[in-house]
Amino acid sequence: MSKIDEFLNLVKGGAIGLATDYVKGAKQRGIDDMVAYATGRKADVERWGGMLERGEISAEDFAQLLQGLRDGAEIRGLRVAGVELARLQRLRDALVNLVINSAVKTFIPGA
Amino acid sequence: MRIARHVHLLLLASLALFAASCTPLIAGYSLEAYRNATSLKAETLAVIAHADEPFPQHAQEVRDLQIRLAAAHEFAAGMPRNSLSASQWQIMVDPTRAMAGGLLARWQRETRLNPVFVREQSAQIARAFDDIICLEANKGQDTACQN
Repeated sequence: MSKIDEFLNLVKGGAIGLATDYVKGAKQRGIDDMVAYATGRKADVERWGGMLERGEISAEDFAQLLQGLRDGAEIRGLRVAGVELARLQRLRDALVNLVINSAVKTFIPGA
Repeated sequence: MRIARHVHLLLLASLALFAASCTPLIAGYSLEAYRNATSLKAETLAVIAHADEPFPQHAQEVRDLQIRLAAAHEFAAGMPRNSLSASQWQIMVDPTRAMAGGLLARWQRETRLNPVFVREQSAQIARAFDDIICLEANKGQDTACQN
């Protein structure tokens, strides 16, 4: 096997492992985060409905809580997007390191 | 000779990769931003716990809090590639929305608020602060978040 093939195989093997872990994890994490959020908020809405019926909160209170629910979901969505972007950056850094380390390992073995 | 040419190509490719990796996708972790979020969470919840009392008794502390919230938003908005965190803060401080800024504005407008409502909104605001804190922490390293 030529040096260049050896190098490409090293990069390919490492990159597949890094990217597969990231892609599988990212999708599941995003789903889990938002499902957990929605499940928790369903109970909130039911509780507020009961409070409104019993006169413990006003219609305006109820409306503001619903708007807070929407605003909170938006902030959660920004969190999910940002956390994945930060992970993507770490993946990119790991891939760059992989390429450089593989090149050094293949072409400058004693370094 | 052939290997030397490959080494040169690889060095060039590595340099190109290195240059590409220098442009961040998202702002790096900021200790100051993290401190802003954690301290303002505690401070905001402490102030709005009194929202069932007459607003004039707390007008000064509310004004001070609004300034610190606005400063935290400005700090986040001033960092390059930090639009996601800045958007979170924008929602948090906006008096026309239903997070901390909206609750403080309504308290001022209506003088005092229903304690049951205040308790429920406090939980929403606390959760939103946790999301801001979570995003900041994860810029540094993978960090498990509350709820």
